[in-house]
Amino acid sequence: MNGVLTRHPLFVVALFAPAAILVGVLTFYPFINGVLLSFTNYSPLYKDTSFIGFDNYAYLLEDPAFWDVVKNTLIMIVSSVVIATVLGFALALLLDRIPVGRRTFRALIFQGWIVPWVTVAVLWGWIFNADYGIINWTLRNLGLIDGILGWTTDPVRAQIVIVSGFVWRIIPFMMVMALAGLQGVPDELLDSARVDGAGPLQRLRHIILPLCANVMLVAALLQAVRLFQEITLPWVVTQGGPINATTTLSLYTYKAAFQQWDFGLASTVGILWTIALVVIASVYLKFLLRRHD
Amino acid sequence: MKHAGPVTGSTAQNAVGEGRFTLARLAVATIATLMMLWPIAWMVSTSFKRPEAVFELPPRWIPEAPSLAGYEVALSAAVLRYFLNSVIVASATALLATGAGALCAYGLSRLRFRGNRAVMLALLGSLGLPIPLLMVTLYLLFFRVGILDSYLALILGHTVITLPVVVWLLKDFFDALPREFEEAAFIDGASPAQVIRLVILPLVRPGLAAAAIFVFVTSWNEFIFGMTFISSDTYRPIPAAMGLLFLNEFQYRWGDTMAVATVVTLPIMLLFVLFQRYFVSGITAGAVKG
Amino acid sequence: MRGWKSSLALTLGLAIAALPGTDALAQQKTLRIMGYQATFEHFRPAWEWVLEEFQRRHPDVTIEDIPTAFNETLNQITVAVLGGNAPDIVIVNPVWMAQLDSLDALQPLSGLISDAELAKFPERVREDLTFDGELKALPLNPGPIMMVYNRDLMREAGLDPDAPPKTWPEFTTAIEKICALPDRNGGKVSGIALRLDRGAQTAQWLIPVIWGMGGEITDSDGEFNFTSPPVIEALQWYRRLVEEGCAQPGATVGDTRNLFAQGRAGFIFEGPWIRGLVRNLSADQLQIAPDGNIWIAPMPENPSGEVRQFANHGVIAITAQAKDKELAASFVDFLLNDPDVVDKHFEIAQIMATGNTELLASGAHGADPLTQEFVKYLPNSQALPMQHPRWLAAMDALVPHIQSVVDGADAQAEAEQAERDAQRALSRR
Repeated sequence: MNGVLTRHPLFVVALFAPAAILVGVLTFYPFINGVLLSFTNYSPLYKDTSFIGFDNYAYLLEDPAFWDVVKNTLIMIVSSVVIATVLGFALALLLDRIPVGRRTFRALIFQGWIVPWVTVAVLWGWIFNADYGIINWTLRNLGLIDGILGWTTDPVRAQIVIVSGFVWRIIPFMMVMALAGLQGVPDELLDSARVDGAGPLQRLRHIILPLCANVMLVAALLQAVRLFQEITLPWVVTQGGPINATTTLSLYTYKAAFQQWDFGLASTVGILWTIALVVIASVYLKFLLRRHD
Repeated sequence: MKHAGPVTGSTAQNAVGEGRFTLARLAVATIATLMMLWPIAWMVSTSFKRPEAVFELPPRWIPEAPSLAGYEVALSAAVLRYFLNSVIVASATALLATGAGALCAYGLSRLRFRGNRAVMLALLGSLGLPIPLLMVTLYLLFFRVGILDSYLALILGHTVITLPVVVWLLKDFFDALPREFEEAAFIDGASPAQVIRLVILPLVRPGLAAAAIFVFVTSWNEFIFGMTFISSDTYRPIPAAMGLLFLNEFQYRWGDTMAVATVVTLPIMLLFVLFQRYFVSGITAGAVKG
Repeated sequence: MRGWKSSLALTLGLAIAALPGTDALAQQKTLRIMGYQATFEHFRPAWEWVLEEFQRRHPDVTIEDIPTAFNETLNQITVAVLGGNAPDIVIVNPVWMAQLDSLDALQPLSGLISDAELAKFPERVREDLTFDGELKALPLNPGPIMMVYNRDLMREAGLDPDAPPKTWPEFTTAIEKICALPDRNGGKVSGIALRLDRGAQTAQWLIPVIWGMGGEITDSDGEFNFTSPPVIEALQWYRRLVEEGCAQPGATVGDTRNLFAQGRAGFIFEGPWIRGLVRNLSADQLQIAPDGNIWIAPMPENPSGEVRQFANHGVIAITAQAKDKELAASFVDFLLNDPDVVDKHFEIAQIMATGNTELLASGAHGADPLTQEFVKYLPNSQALPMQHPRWLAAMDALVPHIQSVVDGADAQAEAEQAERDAQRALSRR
């Protein structure tokens, strides 16, 4: 194929040019420029800009509020992804074994994944409403709480609200990925294990889980990276509070950039975030490859 | 690949043994599905309630006196304008990202060159770049070019977050297609344009549809670009409009808010029902391989 | 799949056809206004009337109103200004103006509106709206913040509704007595509805309490100061009320208003818009009148016996990018200085519709007792302790610490950290 296509050099250019230009101008240039901006105090609110070296980095790293934000972001994203992976996998196991209506169930559950984040946000604000929310009403009826429980007024409860929204929104994705992974488990293997007297739990542990682990771990990483970008839910439901408990790194960066118009500082957060993600992802993948190669 | 039939490859004996659990499994699956879907049902239920009924305790799933008042707000001329804006932006983004992404994916699939894999990984990695970081420069860039507050600003912004996915998705698709036809066509002297139109396009339509739908949905749902790059109602997409208008005064008008939320969500769900099979394959294809 | 593609093409075609600009009439002038008026139910009907009336009087003018949620308005204006796409007129809050002024976004009003007209607005208010020596906005909805109280709850708690608390100790006692009342309307009675959410307004609204304790948030050199004893006292006052269950932690602006309108809070700090809010949120259940369910009083006096009013005006400004500044000025003049317009505006909105003292003393405003209470305190009310482009960022930096104190952390330590954080925010040039 290489030979055939190289006879049409213009065609090859035409294949790559649009994507290269779009990605170059809209992604790579902004990233490089972001690196440069992070060494300046650029702000649209002021007319002059100067090069300030690593001042922005120092400013952030010695700010306890920034470290709180990092910690809270990690807590919320890791717990969301872990919970969603486990529940998504469990759902897939269940659906994989039902004889009829598998597609219907899958389609219904999958609806959650296409609901716009802004809808999830207003909906979560409503169902967790302290006075009239259906969650509080249900808890009261079950006798679990007495009176009114303020979901967004307590740091831990506010995190629970955000995590539950994240989990609800990504379970369908994890389920679909798990179903795809289960397709790759050869029936013969399961059958012979059964013949050898392995119970369902043993089959799950020794055959299904090892074979699906890679898919699930990669899916979990993808969703974690995606949740790092997510901003709507904390913005709308908790405004990042109380006490920054639900301020994610993305909300923090966005506020620095487009509420405080501190482009230098926002770029610095973005660069630190990129570095952290690269480190986390490579450690994660390395660990994965070692275990499963 | 596993066969698609309902009965697994177990022996008849085992099937009978497992049959006992079938009903239980169906019941559990139903409960699990309900657990996942009730928030959506609650949203729709609230959207049909009059303001007083919204605060009624105990809450009713079926409103006693259903009201369309919320939908008068949700389907008002102003909201329909936001709706139209979203349709325009999502459609144009779908065309741009799918078009550019498909060409690139085809090239990456058919041309073996050093760094081929690196390009793919770089594209995937670009999805992890912080969007607010990119937005800072995009904002300055769009300002300099004079396209802040325009459809184009949103279309380009949404392309950033969708194009890499399209390339990943479609490269798999092209890889799975036999290349003999194209090679034969080229050898017979067909031009690249002819090859694409007559040989490739007919085969990749499902893939293109999956990619385009993915892009459309992502663009439709996107909130933050719409909040930042747009400052007039002429171009404001519907999620940003919700953030701007219905979280303020409407904070306590849950009926209206839920009606608007339903109207934002419904088209996407409809699209999903219509194109279900492309949709799921689109979402899983890229990731499973990765 | 052909159908799918052609429908995309069709949509795009429609999109291009719908692009504005193609149908613009050559002679028609457009006035673009951005602000939150149309997003508040208690402002909207009057605002719509104002826009229609102006267009009726100027048939050659089309007004394009761009509604934005209150909390997003500053950002939307900033985005538009930076994009070179600023509206002609903006409705803003005084605390946003320093940021807009640092972008040179606002047009000085002298020269556009006669000095004689400008002089009719209270001096203290004009000072708040003067940047770099130039008056850059005028009050549309003046907002002296008063102590609004529920007379029924006062009476029920054994307090005299005609003698609202005058000092902070009296005030605190009244709050505590009211919050000891039994539950109603689906929940506990709060003594006072305080804003305690994560928004910058939580810090902004602590300022009148600090003033009430006899403090300032700037020192004698004009530097930001958040560690003086009155500040600590104010923080501890917040914590005490929350710990006693007399204020809801985390309450948003909306929560506080809803709580008050449900008759579940004894006090709230609000401005003249309280009438519309109570009317809408309580579905006309509560009446604002000297002998009704709700009435207002000045803020309690500070230890040295002074009453100091905080203000949260809605102000109107002309942008520097406005294409036709004369036209924009004529709209401002029409809105604030035309007696008929001001009267009608007031009649519909039931809210102070200008800062023009002559008009506030006469006509519909003059005949309204609630408005006259607010008018009495308008000349002394202050909106801005400091004019700094990063003021809101500093306020935002304070909020987590205020919330921590309310949550039980040590007030002194949090205040010190809060001051450092706010000063850091202000020092980011």
